[in-house]
Amino acid sequence: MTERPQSILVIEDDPAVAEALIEGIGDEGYEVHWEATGTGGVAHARDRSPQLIVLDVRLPDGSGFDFCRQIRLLGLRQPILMLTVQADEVDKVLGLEMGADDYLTKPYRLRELIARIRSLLRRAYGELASAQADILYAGDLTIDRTRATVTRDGRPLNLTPTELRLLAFLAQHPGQVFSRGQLIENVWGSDADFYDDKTVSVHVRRLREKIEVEPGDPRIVLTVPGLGYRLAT
Amino acid sequence: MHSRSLRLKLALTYAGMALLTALILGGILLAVLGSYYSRAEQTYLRASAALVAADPPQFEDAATLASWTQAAALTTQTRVRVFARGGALLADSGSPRALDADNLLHTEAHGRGDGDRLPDPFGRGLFGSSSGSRSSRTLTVALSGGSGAFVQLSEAPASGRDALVSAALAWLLAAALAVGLAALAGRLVAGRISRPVVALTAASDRMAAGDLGARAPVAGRDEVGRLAESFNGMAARVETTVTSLRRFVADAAHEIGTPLTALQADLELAERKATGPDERRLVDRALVQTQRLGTLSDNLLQLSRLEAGESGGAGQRVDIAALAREAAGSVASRAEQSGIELHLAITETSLVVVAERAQLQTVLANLLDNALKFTPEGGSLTLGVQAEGAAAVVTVADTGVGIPADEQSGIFGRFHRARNVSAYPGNGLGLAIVKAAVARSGGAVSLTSSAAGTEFRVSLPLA
Repeated sequence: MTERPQSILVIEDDPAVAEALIEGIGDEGYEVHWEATGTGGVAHARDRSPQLIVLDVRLPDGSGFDFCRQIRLLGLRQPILMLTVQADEVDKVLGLEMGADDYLTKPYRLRELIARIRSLLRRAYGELASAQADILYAGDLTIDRTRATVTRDGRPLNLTPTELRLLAFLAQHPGQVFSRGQLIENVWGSDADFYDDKTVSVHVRRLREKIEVEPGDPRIVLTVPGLGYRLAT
Repeated sequence: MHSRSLRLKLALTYAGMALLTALILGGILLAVLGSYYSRAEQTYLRASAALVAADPPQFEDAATLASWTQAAALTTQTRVRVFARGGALLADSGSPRALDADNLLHTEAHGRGDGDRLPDPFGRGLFGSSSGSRSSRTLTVALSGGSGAFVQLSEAPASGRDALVSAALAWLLAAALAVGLAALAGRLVAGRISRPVVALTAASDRMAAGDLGARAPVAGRDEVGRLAESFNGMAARVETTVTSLRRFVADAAHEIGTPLTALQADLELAERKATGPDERRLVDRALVQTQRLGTLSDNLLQLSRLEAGESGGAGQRVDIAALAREAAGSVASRAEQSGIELHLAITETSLVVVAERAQLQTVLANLLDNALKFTPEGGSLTLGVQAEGAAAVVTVADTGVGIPADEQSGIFGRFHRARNVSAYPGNGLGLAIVKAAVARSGGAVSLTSSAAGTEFRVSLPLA
């Protein structure tokens, strides 16, 4: 990606899963290290201090939760993303209580994993999080305001200027909810008087069709019932 | 409930047996005593008759006869009656108990003075025919002197009858005491027998409710103790089987999930690196199927856990109103994008039920997912939560394609899919999971559906 690649440690016992993760995460410009056991992973985390750890919950030498706790007991504070068994709500809650920062249930989408990794890294290291930054992120999208482009996997998406402004405005305040009125004011600005709430809904709908992987089930620009819209964190 | 009836039965049985024994023994005792005293009375009468007959009365005038009769009655302490040859009553001393030496002249000629005599409690019935018993206590003696008159002695001193009466009273008291004690003993014995049975029932109920670790206490080596042992053996076996089956399902889901994860990630990489539209289309199709497999294995795991009664912990206090708002939030984007209006009809700010949060989330998510899936663009979806009596009622109403009437009853079955939705994605497990999860929370789910839409109603007991 940029100057210095961030290093990510993947602790996952299954070689096929690990291989796909290494390739997928590596393609995003991160430096990926793989450990197949919890013990090896903890040792790696202690000695090499990666920026982020992806930790599988089932490992041949013990439970991911125990290793998560061990890593925290070592005083390491980097984000830990846990990969849990599907629909295992108990595991999920436990994972967060054990000091993990986020979790994904298997089988997850690589795209979503990468979006989570980015978001965790941004939250932990504050990289380019400023509202004034030229590069913004929304899910797995990269928004370059100077060049007025939105890209996914390096491929540009064809957005209109209004759509780009709408997305960029939401991306400046990830998680914050904006009413349709607020969006009109901030995105349409001087022409605001000519538009109503319906305009926003129509634009959001079109924007989603362009940026969402599955437009029918939006994951980037989210509707908040009765309030408005927000960007997924 | 069963223990109580066992106690009652045993107590009644013991009391009945005691009563029967007392009746038989008391009957024999009283019969023996009665016949002994009856013989004694007869002997006494005979001796008295000999005494009376030795000094025959003068028949000249009634007064002399009467005083003779009185004197004889006083001497023998019996009732003395003198009859003429033809059977006419000439004189009667009356009941010997009414006699008083100072009051000899007040003899009634025809008095029936037996009113103040103690009643014979078993003179009738228990000791044979009353006439027989009466005649056995009356002795008629012909008087000497050729007058042809005879004297009749009856109502000998009642000491025998008194003894019989007090024996009977004592017997009644003893019998009542015995019956009471027997009933008490029956209760105690039944308690001893039923206590382990009650414990066994409790263990079996707990096991039926899903607590596979439930075991009955083994008290003693009697039949009940052996039953408890045998129950525990069976319980251990069931627990082992269920546990290993459950572990198998969890392992299977994990084992399927791992290659699926790798497959999906590889397909995504392939999609990213695909150069032509044909390649991308094929990879996309493969990805959709991979996700379908993932959902299926996920749902199977969920359902098997719910049906096995496995609990992730005790129920928590869950605010169903807040949970519903959360669930609505997570489908709002999808609803908007599909052109479906999402309405919230949540009247309460907070409505607390005791359940497992994750299970209720699944219930809401599955119902909302169905509603969105089967409602065409331009339709609407209403999520309601309200308190109705002691229940929180969640309704999910859509203007979707509806469920054919003949399929509504089977719609909660696993892998059941209505024939009008075969073109929609799905595996037929969603509603089976809803039903199992609602049941685990002690609630109920029902539906009403027509071609204009469907409404699901989930009612959960309020905390």
